[in-house]
Amino acid sequence: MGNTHDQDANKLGHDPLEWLGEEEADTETKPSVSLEASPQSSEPVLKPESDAPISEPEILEGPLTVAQVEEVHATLTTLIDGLPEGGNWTLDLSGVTQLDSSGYQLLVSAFNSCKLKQIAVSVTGLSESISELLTMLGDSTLKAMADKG
Amino acid sequence: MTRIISCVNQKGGVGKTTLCANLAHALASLGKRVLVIDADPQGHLSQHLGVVDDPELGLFSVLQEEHTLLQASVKVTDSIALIPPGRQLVRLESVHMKPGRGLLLRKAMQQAALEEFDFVLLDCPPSNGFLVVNAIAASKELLIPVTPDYLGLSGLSKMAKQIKRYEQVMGDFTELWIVISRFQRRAVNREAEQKIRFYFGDKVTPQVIFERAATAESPGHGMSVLQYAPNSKSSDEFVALAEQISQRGE
Repeated sequence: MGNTHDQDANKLGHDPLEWLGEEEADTETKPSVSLEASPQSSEPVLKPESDAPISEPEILEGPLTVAQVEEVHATLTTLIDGLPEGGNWTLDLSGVTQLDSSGYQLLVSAFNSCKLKQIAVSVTGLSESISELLTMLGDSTLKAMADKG
Repeated sequence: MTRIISCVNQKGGVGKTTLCANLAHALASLGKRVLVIDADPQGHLSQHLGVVDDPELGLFSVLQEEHTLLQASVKVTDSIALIPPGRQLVRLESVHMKPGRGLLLRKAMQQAALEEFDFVLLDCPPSNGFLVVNAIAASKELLIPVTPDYLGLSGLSKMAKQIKRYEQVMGDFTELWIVISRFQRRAVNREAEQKIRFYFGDKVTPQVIFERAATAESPGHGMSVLQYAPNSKSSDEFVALAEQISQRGE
Protein backbone atom coordinates (compact mmCIF):
# COMPACT_ATOMS: atom_id res chain seq x y z
CA MET A 1 0.00 0.00 0.00
CA GLY A 2 1.93 3.03 1.14
CA ASN A 3 -0.46 5.66 -0.14
CA THR A 4 -2.11 8.35 1.90
CA HIS A 5 -5.68 8.00 0.74
CA ASP A 6 -6.50 4.58 2.12
CA GLN A 7 -7.98 5.26 5.50
CA ASP A 8 -9.97 2.03 5.52
CA ALA A 9 -7.65 0.07 3.27
CA ASN A 10 -8.14 -3.25 4.96
CA LYS A 11 -10.55 -5.00 2.61
CA LEU A 12 -8.69 -4.86 -0.66
CA GLY A 13 -5.35 -6.29 0.45
CA HIS A 14 -2.41 -5.72 -1.87
CA ASP A 15 -2.55 -2.73 -4.24
CA PRO A 16 -1.75 -3.86 -7.81
CA LEU A 17 -1.66 -0.25 -9.02
CA GLU A 18 1.05 0.89 -6.63
CA TRP A 19 3.67 0.98 -9.41
CA LEU A 20 1.80 3.89 -10.98
CA GLY A 21 2.65 6.04 -7.97
CA GLU A 22 6.29 4.98 -8.12
CA GLU A 23 6.61 5.60 -11.83
CA GLU A 24 6.38 9.35 -11.48
CA ALA A 25 9.85 9.31 -9.93
CA ASP A 26 11.26 6.76 -12.34
CA THR A 27 10.38 7.71 -15.87
CA GLU A 28 13.06 5.41 -17.30
CA THR A 29 11.19 2.24 -16.44
CA LYS A 30 9.44 2.11 -19.77
CA PRO A 31 8.22 -1.23 -21.02
CA SER A 32 9.81 -2.57 -24.17
CA VAL A 33 8.19 -1.36 -27.37
CA SER A 34 6.28 -4.11 -29.06
CA LEU A 35 2.68 -4.61 -29.93
CA GLU A 36 3.21 -8.28 -30.51
CA ALA A 37 0.59 -10.74 -29.47
CA SER A 38 3.51 -13.00 -28.67
CA PRO A 39 5.94 -11.48 -26.17
CA GLN A 40 8.81 -13.66 -27.40
CA SER A 41 8.97 -12.04 -30.79
CA SER A 42 10.82 -8.79 -31.33
CA GLU A 43 8.95 -7.91 -34.52
CA PRO A 44 6.75 -4.86 -33.93
CA VAL A 45 3.25 -5.05 -35.31
CA LEU A 46 2.52 -1.48 -36.19
CA LYS A 47 4.99 -0.89 -38.95
CA PRO A 48 3.99 0.89 -42.14
CA GLU A 49 1.21 -0.96 -43.84
CA SER A 50 1.73 -4.04 -45.85
CA ASP A 51 -1.03 -5.84 -47.61
CA ALA A 52 -0.33 -9.15 -45.94
CA PRO A 53 -3.42 -11.27 -46.51
CA ILE A 54 -5.02 -13.06 -43.59
CA SER A 55 -6.15 -16.01 -45.64
CA GLU A 56 -2.88 -17.42 -44.58
CA PRO A 57 -1.70 -20.84 -43.64
CA GLU A 58 -1.87 -21.56 -39.94
CA ILE A 59 1.71 -21.51 -38.76
CA LEU A 60 3.04 -23.90 -36.16
CA GLU A 61 6.27 -22.84 -34.55
CA GLY A 62 8.81 -24.30 -32.15
CA PRO A 63 8.98 -27.87 -30.92
CA LEU A 64 5.94 -30.09 -31.27
CA THR A 65 6.56 -32.81 -28.77
CA VAL A 66 4.77 -34.41 -25.86
CA ALA A 67 5.38 -31.26 -23.81
CA GLN A 68 3.42 -29.07 -26.22
CA VAL A 69 0.70 -31.36 -27.55
CA GLU A 70 -1.95 -30.42 -24.99
CA GLU A 71 -1.66 -26.72 -25.75
CA VAL A 72 -1.39 -27.19 -29.51
CA HIS A 73 -4.29 -29.64 -29.45
CA ALA A 74 -6.50 -26.97 -27.86
CA THR A 75 -5.43 -24.42 -30.48
CA LEU A 76 -5.98 -26.76 -33.41
CA THR A 77 -9.35 -27.94 -32.08
CA THR A 78 -10.57 -24.33 -31.84
CA LEU A 79 -9.30 -23.59 -35.32
CA ILE A 80 -10.85 -26.65 -36.90
CA ASP A 81 -14.17 -26.04 -35.13
CA GLY A 82 -14.20 -22.61 -36.75
CA LEU A 83 -13.55 -23.87 -40.27
CA PRO A 84 -16.54 -24.20 -42.58
CA GLU A 85 -17.43 -27.66 -43.85
CA GLY A 86 -16.00 -28.35 -47.27
CA GLY A 87 -13.41 -25.56 -46.96
CA ASN A 88 -9.64 -25.50 -47.37
CA TRP A 89 -6.98 -25.35 -44.71
CA THR A 90 -3.24 -24.94 -45.04
CA LEU A 91 -0.86 -25.77 -42.24
CA ASP A 92 2.62 -24.28 -42.39
CA LEU A 93 5.15 -26.44 -40.55
CA SER A 94 8.22 -24.42 -41.54
CA GLY A 95 8.65 -23.17 -37.99
CA VAL A 96 8.48 -26.60 -36.37
CA THR A 97 11.90 -27.31 -34.93
CA GLN A 98 11.26 -30.69 -33.37
CA LEU A 99 8.62 -33.37 -33.78
CA ASP A 100 8.08 -36.57 -31.82
CA SER A 101 5.50 -39.31 -32.10
CA SER A 102 3.03 -37.40 -29.88
CA GLY A 103 3.27 -34.36 -32.10
CA TYR A 104 2.92 -36.48 -35.19
CA GLN A 105 -0.11 -38.25 -33.73
CA LEU A 106 -1.68 -34.88 -32.95
CA LEU A 107 -1.26 -33.69 -36.52
CA VAL A 108 -2.73 -36.86 -37.96
CA SER A 109 -5.64 -36.61 -35.54
CA ALA A 110 -6.23 -32.99 -36.57
CA PHE A 111 -6.22 -33.99 -40.24
CA ASN A 112 -8.71 -36.76 -39.51
CA SER A 113 -10.99 -34.20 -37.84
CA CYS A 114 -10.74 -32.10 -40.99
CA LYS A 115 -11.56 -35.11 -43.12
CA LEU A 116 -14.78 -35.62 -41.17
CA LYS A 117 -15.73 -32.04 -42.03
CA GLN A 118 -14.68 -32.57 -45.66
CA ILE A 119 -12.01 -29.92 -45.30
CA ALA A 120 -9.17 -30.18 -47.82
CA VAL A 121 -5.89 -29.92 -45.94
CA SER A 122 -2.51 -29.11 -47.38
CA VAL A 123 0.81 -28.94 -45.58
CA THR A 124 3.63 -26.54 -46.43
CA GLY A 125 7.10 -25.85 -45.11
CA LEU A 126 8.20 -29.37 -44.26
CA SER A 127 11.86 -29.05 -43.40
CA GLU A 128 14.37 -31.65 -44.47
CA SER A 129 14.90 -32.88 -40.92
CA ILE A 130 11.17 -33.21 -40.21
CA SER A 131 10.73 -34.88 -43.57
CA GLU A 132 13.44 -37.42 -42.71
CA LEU A 133 11.78 -38.04 -39.37
CA LEU A 134 8.46 -38.67 -41.09
CA THR A 135 10.13 -41.21 -43.31
CA MET A 136 11.52 -42.93 -40.23
CA LEU A 137 8.05 -42.93 -38.64
CA GLY A 138 6.68 -44.60 -41.74
CA ASP A 139 4.41 -41.63 -42.40
CA SER A 140 2.20 -41.54 -45.43
CA THR A 141 -0.32 -38.91 -44.32
CA LEU A 142 1.68 -35.72 -43.85
CA LYS A 143 3.96 -36.21 -46.81
CA ALA A 144 1.00 -36.81 -49.09
CA MET A 145 -0.52 -33.58 -47.88
CA ALA A 146 2.76 -31.75 -48.30
CA ASP A 147 2.93 -32.96 -51.87
CA LYS A 148 -0.58 -31.56 -52.44
CA GLY A 149 0.38 -28.25 -50.80
CA MET B 1 -15.90 14.00 -36.83
CA THR B 2 -16.44 10.35 -36.02
CA ARG B 3 -15.10 9.29 -32.64
CA ILE B 4 -13.72 5.76 -32.64
CA ILE B 5 -13.61 4.11 -29.22
CA SER B 6 -12.45 0.61 -28.34
CA CYS B 7 -13.99 -0.95 -25.26
CA VAL B 8 -11.10 -3.04 -24.06
CA ASN B 9 -9.77 -4.95 -21.07
CA GLN B 10 -7.96 -8.24 -21.31
CA LYS B 11 -9.65 -9.32 -18.10
CA GLY B 12 -12.97 -11.02 -18.71
CA GLY B 13 -16.22 -10.30 -16.89
CA VAL B 14 -15.60 -6.60 -16.37
CA GLY B 15 -18.63 -5.48 -18.39
CA LYS B 16 -17.19 -4.62 -21.81
CA THR B 17 -20.14 -5.98 -23.78
CA THR B 18 -22.72 -4.59 -21.37
CA LEU B 19 -21.07 -1.21 -21.57
CA CYS B 20 -20.90 -1.23 -25.38
CA ALA B 21 -24.51 -2.29 -25.90
CA ASN B 22 -25.97 0.12 -23.39
CA LEU B 23 -23.69 3.01 -24.23
CA ALA B 24 -24.66 2.66 -27.90
CA HIS B 25 -28.33 3.05 -27.01
CA ALA B 26 -27.60 5.81 -24.50
CA LEU B 27 -25.66 7.77 -27.11
CA ALA B 28 -28.48 7.18 -29.58
CA SER B 29 -30.93 8.57 -27.00
CA LEU B 30 -28.85 11.76 -27.07
CA GLY B 31 -29.31 11.99 -30.82
CA LYS B 32 -26.00 10.41 -31.81
CA ARG B 33 -25.57 7.92 -34.66
CA VAL B 34 -23.55 4.91 -33.59
CA LEU B 35 -21.79 2.05 -35.35
CA VAL B 36 -20.98 -0.81 -33.01
CA ILE B 37 -18.45 -3.47 -33.99
CA ASP B 38 -18.59 -6.84 -32.32
CA ALA B 39 -14.94 -7.89 -32.35
CA ASP B 40 -15.51 -10.75 -29.92
CA PRO B 41 -16.04 -14.07 -31.74
CA GLN B 42 -18.53 -15.07 -29.05
CA GLY B 43 -20.93 -12.53 -30.58
CA HIS B 44 -22.45 -11.53 -27.26
CA LEU B 45 -22.73 -7.86 -28.19
CA SER B 46 -24.76 -8.83 -31.25
CA GLN B 47 -27.04 -10.99 -29.11
CA HIS B 48 -27.41 -8.21 -26.56
CA LEU B 49 -28.56 -5.92 -29.37
CA GLY B 50 -31.09 -8.47 -30.62
CA VAL B 51 -29.09 -9.92 -33.52
CA VAL B 52 -29.26 -13.54 -32.48
CA ASP B 53 -29.01 -15.46 -35.74
CA ASP B 54 -25.24 -15.10 -36.07
CA PRO B 55 -25.03 -13.61 -39.60
CA GLU B 56 -22.46 -15.14 -41.94
CA LEU B 57 -21.20 -11.72 -42.99
CA GLY B 58 -19.36 -9.65 -40.45
CA LEU B 59 -16.02 -8.43 -39.19
CA PHE B 60 -14.29 -11.59 -40.43
CA SER B 61 -14.98 -10.77 -44.07
CA VAL B 62 -14.05 -7.11 -43.48
CA LEU B 63 -10.67 -8.15 -42.12
CA GLN B 64 -10.29 -10.53 -45.05
CA GLU B 65 -10.85 -7.49 -47.29
CA GLU B 66 -13.80 -9.21 -48.95
CA HIS B 67 -16.42 -6.69 -47.84
CA THR B 68 -16.47 -3.11 -46.62
CA LEU B 69 -17.58 -2.25 -43.12
CA LEU B 70 -20.88 -0.88 -44.35
CA GLN B 71 -21.56 -3.92 -46.52
CA ALA B 72 -21.15 -6.09 -43.43
CA SER B 73 -23.35 -3.94 -41.20
CA VAL B 74 -26.86 -4.71 -40.04
CA LYS B 75 -29.40 -2.17 -38.84
CA VAL B 76 -30.26 -2.34 -35.15
CA THR B 77 -32.30 0.88 -34.91
CA ASP B 78 -32.54 4.03 -37.01
CA SER B 79 -29.51 5.36 -35.11
CA ILE B 80 -27.50 2.20 -34.49
CA ALA B 81 -25.78 -0.13 -36.96
CA LEU B 82 -23.87 -3.26 -36.00
CA ILE B 83 -21.01 -5.19 -37.54
CA PRO B 84 -21.46 -8.72 -36.18
CA PRO B 85 -18.36 -10.90 -35.75
CA GLY B 86 -19.14 -13.28 -38.62
CA ARG B 87 -19.10 -17.01 -38.08
CA GLN B 88 -15.40 -17.51 -38.71
CA LEU B 89 -13.97 -14.68 -36.64
CA VAL B 90 -12.68 -17.17 -34.08
CA ARG B 91 -10.09 -18.22 -36.67
CA LEU B 92 -8.46 -14.81 -36.48
CA GLU B 93 -7.96 -14.82 -32.74
CA SER B 94 -4.81 -16.89 -33.11
CA VAL B 95 -3.42 -15.23 -36.24
CA HIS B 96 0.27 -14.53 -35.85
CA MET B 97 1.12 -10.86 -35.82
CA LYS B 98 3.25 -9.61 -38.68
CA PRO B 99 3.93 -6.11 -39.94
CA GLY B 100 0.76 -4.54 -41.29
CA ARG B 101 -1.62 -7.06 -39.79
CA GLY B 102 -2.40 -4.80 -36.87
CA LEU B 103 -3.65 -2.11 -39.23
CA LEU B 104 -6.23 -3.99 -41.26
CA LEU B 105 -9.24 -2.65 -39.39
CA ARG B 106 -7.88 0.88 -39.42
CA LYS B 107 -7.51 0.60 -43.18
CA ALA B 108 -11.09 -0.70 -43.49
CA MET B 109 -12.32 2.25 -41.46
CA GLN B 110 -10.40 4.72 -43.58
CA GLN B 111 -12.03 3.27 -46.67
CA ALA B 112 -15.54 3.32 -45.22
CA ALA B 113 -17.82 6.35 -45.21
CA LEU B 114 -17.94 6.58 -41.45
CA GLU B 115 -18.84 10.26 -41.38
CA GLU B 116 -22.49 9.29 -41.18
CA PHE B 117 -21.73 8.07 -37.65
CA ASP B 118 -20.88 10.20 -34.61
CA PHE B 119 -19.42 7.24 -32.74
CA VAL B 120 -17.87 3.88 -33.56
CA LEU B 121 -17.77 1.57 -30.53
CA LEU B 122 -15.71 -1.63 -30.69
CA ASP B 123 -16.33 -4.46 -28.25
CA CYS B 124 -13.06 -6.37 -27.85
CA PRO B 125 -12.59 -9.95 -26.68
CA PRO B 126 -10.87 -10.50 -23.33
CA SER B 127 -7.49 -11.23 -24.86
CA ASN B 128 -4.51 -9.46 -26.32
CA GLY B 129 -4.11 -10.87 -29.81
CA PHE B 130 -4.81 -9.98 -33.42
CA LEU B 131 -8.38 -8.76 -32.95
CA VAL B 132 -7.59 -6.53 -29.99
CA VAL B 133 -4.48 -5.10 -31.67
CA ASN B 134 -6.57 -4.25 -34.74
CA ALA B 135 -9.32 -2.65 -32.66
CA ILE B 136 -6.93 -0.55 -30.61
CA ALA B 137 -4.88 0.51 -33.63
CA ALA B 138 -8.08 1.72 -35.30
CA SER B 139 -9.18 3.73 -32.27
CA LYS B 140 -8.40 7.19 -31.02
CA GLU B 141 -9.99 6.63 -27.63
CA LEU B 142 -10.09 3.69 -25.23
CA LEU B 143 -12.91 2.85 -22.88
CA ILE B 144 -11.82 0.55 -20.10
CA PRO B 145 -14.42 -0.93 -17.79
CA VAL B 146 -13.00 -2.05 -14.47
CA THR B 147 -14.57 -3.99 -11.64
CA PRO B 148 -13.82 -2.37 -8.28
CA ASP B 149 -12.10 -5.28 -6.58
CA TYR B 150 -8.60 -6.72 -6.29
CA LEU B 151 -8.68 -8.71 -9.53
CA GLY B 152 -10.16 -5.73 -11.36
CA LEU B 153 -7.29 -3.56 -10.19
CA SER B 154 -4.80 -6.24 -11.11
CA GLY B 155 -6.26 -6.35 -14.64
CA LEU B 156 -6.20 -2.57 -14.84
CA SER B 157 -2.55 -2.59 -13.86
CA LYS B 158 -1.73 -4.87 -16.79
CA MET B 159 -3.91 -2.80 -19.09
CA ALA B 160 -2.12 0.40 -18.08
CA LYS B 161 1.24 -1.15 -19.00
CA GLN B 162 -0.16 -2.35 -22.29
CA ILE B 163 -1.54 1.10 -23.12
CA LYS B 164 1.89 2.63 -22.56
CA ARG B 165 3.32 0.24 -25.14
CA TYR B 166 0.68 1.22 -27.66
CA GLU B 167 1.22 4.91 -27.03
CA GLN B 168 4.97 4.54 -27.57
CA VAL B 169 4.24 3.26 -31.07
CA MET B 170 1.04 5.08 -32.02
CA GLY B 171 1.21 8.27 -29.99
CA ASP B 172 -1.17 9.14 -27.20
CA PHE B 173 -4.84 8.30 -27.36
CA THR B 174 -6.99 11.41 -27.40
CA GLU B 175 -9.00 10.12 -24.46
CA LEU B 176 -8.75 7.24 -22.02
CA TRP B 177 -12.00 6.49 -20.23
CA ILE B 178 -11.96 4.26 -17.19
CA VAL B 179 -15.44 3.24 -16.14
CA ILE B 180 -16.02 1.58 -12.79
CA SER B 181 -18.56 -1.11 -13.52
CA ARG B 182 -20.45 -3.79 -11.62
CA PHE B 183 -20.26 -1.65 -8.52
CA GLN B 184 -21.94 -2.90 -5.35
CA ARG B 185 -22.27 -1.16 -2.01
CA ARG B 186 -19.44 -3.00 -0.31
CA ALA B 187 -16.43 -1.68 1.54
CA VAL B 188 -14.03 -3.43 -0.82
CA ASN B 189 -15.71 -1.79 -3.82
CA ARG B 190 -15.54 1.66 -2.26
CA GLU B 191 -11.89 1.16 -1.38
CA ALA B 192 -11.04 -0.01 -4.89
CA GLU B 193 -12.90 2.96 -6.39
CA GLN B 194 -10.84 5.32 -4.22
CA LYS B 195 -7.64 3.75 -5.47
CA ILE B 196 -8.66 3.88 -9.11
CA ARG B 197 -9.58 7.56 -8.82
CA PHE B 198 -6.37 8.29 -6.91
CA TYR B 199 -4.16 6.83 -9.63
CA PHE B 200 -6.11 7.77 -12.74
CA GLY B 201 -7.78 11.06 -11.73
CA ASP B 202 -10.07 12.55 -14.32
CA LYS B 203 -9.61 9.62 -16.68
CA VAL B 204 -12.16 7.88 -14.46
CA THR B 205 -15.68 8.86 -15.40
CA PRO B 206 -17.69 10.43 -12.57
CA GLN B 207 -20.53 8.03 -13.39
CA VAL B 208 -20.22 4.57 -11.91
CA ILE B 209 -22.21 1.63 -13.31
CA PHE B 210 -23.85 -0.41 -10.56
CA GLU B 211 -24.52 -4.13 -10.69
CA ARG B 212 -28.30 -4.18 -11.13
CA ALA B 213 -30.94 -6.74 -11.99
CA ALA B 214 -32.23 -4.89 -15.06
CA THR B 215 -28.74 -4.79 -16.59
CA ALA B 216 -28.39 -8.53 -16.09
CA GLU B 217 -31.84 -9.33 -17.47
CA SER B 218 -31.85 -7.18 -20.59
CA PRO B 219 -29.46 -9.27 -22.80
CA GLY B 220 -31.78 -12.25 -22.54
CA HIS B 221 -34.45 -10.16 -24.22
CA GLY B 222 -32.11 -8.94 -26.96
CA MET B 223 -32.42 -5.40 -25.67
CA SER B 224 -30.32 -2.74 -24.10
CA VAL B 225 -31.36 -1.78 -20.61
CA LEU B 226 -32.66 1.49 -22.04
CA GLN B 227 -35.18 -0.49 -24.06
CA TYR B 228 -35.87 -3.16 -21.46
CA ALA B 229 -36.25 -0.89 -18.43
CA PRO B 230 -36.24 2.70 -19.69
CA ASN B 231 -37.17 4.20 -16.33
CA SER B 232 -34.66 2.21 -14.30
CA LYS B 233 -31.67 3.54 -12.38
CA SER B 234 -29.50 1.41 -14.63
CA SER B 235 -30.81 3.19 -17.71
CA ASP B 236 -30.17 6.57 -16.06
CA GLU B 237 -26.59 5.55 -15.28
CA PHE B 238 -25.80 4.73 -18.90
CA VAL B 239 -27.38 7.95 -20.15
CA ALA B 240 -25.37 9.96 -17.64
CA LEU B 241 -22.21 8.14 -18.74
CA ALA B 242 -23.02 8.81 -22.39
CA GLU B 243 -23.45 12.50 -21.61
CA GLN B 244 -20.06 12.64 -19.89
CA ILE B 245 -18.29 10.84 -22.73
CA SER B 246 -20.13 12.80 -25.38
CA GLN B 247 -19.45 16.20 -23.82
CA ARG B 248 -15.81 15.82 -22.80
CA GLY B 249 -14.63 14.40 -26.05
CA GLU B 250 -16.15 17.16 -28.19
